[in-house]
Amino acid sequence: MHSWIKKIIDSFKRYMKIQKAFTHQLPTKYVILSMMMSVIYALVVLLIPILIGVNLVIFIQLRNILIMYFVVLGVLFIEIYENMFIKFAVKYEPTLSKLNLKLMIRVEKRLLQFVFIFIYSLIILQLGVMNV
Amino acid sequence: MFKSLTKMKVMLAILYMCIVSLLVIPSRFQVVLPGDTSLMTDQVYIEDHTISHISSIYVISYEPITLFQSIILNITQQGSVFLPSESTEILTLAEKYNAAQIQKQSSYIISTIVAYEKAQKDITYAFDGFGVTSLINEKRTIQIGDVITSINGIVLTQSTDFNQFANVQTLTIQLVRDNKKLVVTHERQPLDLPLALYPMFSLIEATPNISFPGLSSTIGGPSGGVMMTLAIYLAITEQLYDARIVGTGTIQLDGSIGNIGGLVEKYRTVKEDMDIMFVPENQVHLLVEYDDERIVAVSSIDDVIHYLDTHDAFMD
Repeated sequence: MHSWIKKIIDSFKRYMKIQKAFTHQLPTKYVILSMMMSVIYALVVLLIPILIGVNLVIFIQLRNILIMYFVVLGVLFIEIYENMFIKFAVKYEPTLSKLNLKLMIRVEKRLLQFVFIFIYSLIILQLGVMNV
Repeated sequence: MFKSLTKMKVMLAILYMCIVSLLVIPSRFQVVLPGDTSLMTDQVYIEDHTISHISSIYVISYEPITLFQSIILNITQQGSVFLPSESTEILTLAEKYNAAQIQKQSSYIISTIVAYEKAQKDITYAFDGFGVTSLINEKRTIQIGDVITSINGIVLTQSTDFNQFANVQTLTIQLVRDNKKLVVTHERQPLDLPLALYPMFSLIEATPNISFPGLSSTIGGPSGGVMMTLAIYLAITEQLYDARIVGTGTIQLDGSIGNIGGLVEKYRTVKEDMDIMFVPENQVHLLVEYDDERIVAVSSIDDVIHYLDTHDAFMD
C-alpha cells in the first residue's frame, strides 16, 4: 500500500478514536448547547457580509461573482462554526482539552466544507443559475 | 480602561445594528434594472421550421428595495428607482408573477395570430374573454387570472368598448376562474383602481403546428410580443437571419406595436451586443441621448418586416 494512502487511513483512524472519546466525554445537552452557540456566533460574525451579498443579488451582471462569494461565505461559516464549537465544548467540559482536538477540527471542517460545496454545486446546476 | 473598553463595545454594537438595519429595512421604492436577452429559439417551436437567433429583452423589476440597495443604486446610477403605483402595491408577489404570466400567454397567442395572418398561413382561433392582471381593490372579488366573459349580460368580444360601463354603478360580471364559471357582483366605490385586462385567445388549429416552450419560463410580461411575432413570421416564411436582432414592444391584434416599461434599462442590457434594436416609435425619444444608429423606431410589425426586407445584409 502507498505510504500516503496509509497516512490518510491512519489519520482517519485517529480521528475516529478522538471523535469517540469526544462524544463519550461531552454530555448531549452540552453538544447541543455548543452547536447552538457556535451557529449563533458564526451568524453574528457573517451576518453583514451575508446581507450585503443578498442585497447585491438584484444586479444580474454580478451573478457569477455572487455565486463564488456565497461559496466563500459558506466555507468561512463552517470554519468559524467548527472553531467555536470546540471552544464552547472545552469551556463546558474542560477535560476535553486533553484530546487532540486540532486533528478532529481539521477533519470535520474539511468534510463539512466538501459536503457544502458538493450540495451547493448540485443546487446551482439544478437551478441552471449559470444559464439564466 | 475598563470603562472605555465597554464604551467601545457599545459603540461597535450600535454601529453593527445600524449596518444591519440598512441592509434589511425596506424602503418604499421599486427598481427596474438591466436584465438579459431571451432567445426566441427557446420560446417558440414550429414544426419543420427554423427560428432565427433573434431575441427579446427582459429587465429585472424588484421591490421593495432596502435602504442599502437604494444607496448603491444612487451611487452607481444603475436602473430606475421609483415609487410603485397603488395598483402594484396591493398585489402579492405571487399575484404579480401570475399577472406577468397571463400577459405573456396573451402576447404569445396574439403574436401567433398576427404572424400567421401576415404570412397567409392557416390559423383558427377563438376569443375566450379578457384576462385580469390587476385588482380593483383589496377585497379580491375579481382576482388575478380570472377571465371575464360578459359584463351586465353583454358578451365581451375582442372589440368591446369598455367605455359603455364607465357610469354603471353595479357590475354583474361573468367570469371563468380555475376552469369554473362564476358570476360576481361588484358595486363601484370611489377608491376603485382601474382594472388591467388582456385579451385571451385559444388556438384551435395552426398549420404549421406551433408550440411555446417559453410558457414554462419564469420570465413574464407582454413586451416580447413584437419579437415573438417577428420570429414566427420569419420562420414560417422561410427567412433566416443571423444578425444580433433584438427588440421590445407589445403586439396588438392589428399588428401595431405598443409601449413597454424599462426601455432605457433594456437598451443598457443589449447595447454592447446587438446589431439592430427595434423599439416602439412612441417611446424612441427616451433613447435620444444615446444617439445610437442601431435603434430602429417601429410602430407596427409591417415596419419591422419592411426594415429587414430593405436590409438584406442581415440575412443568413
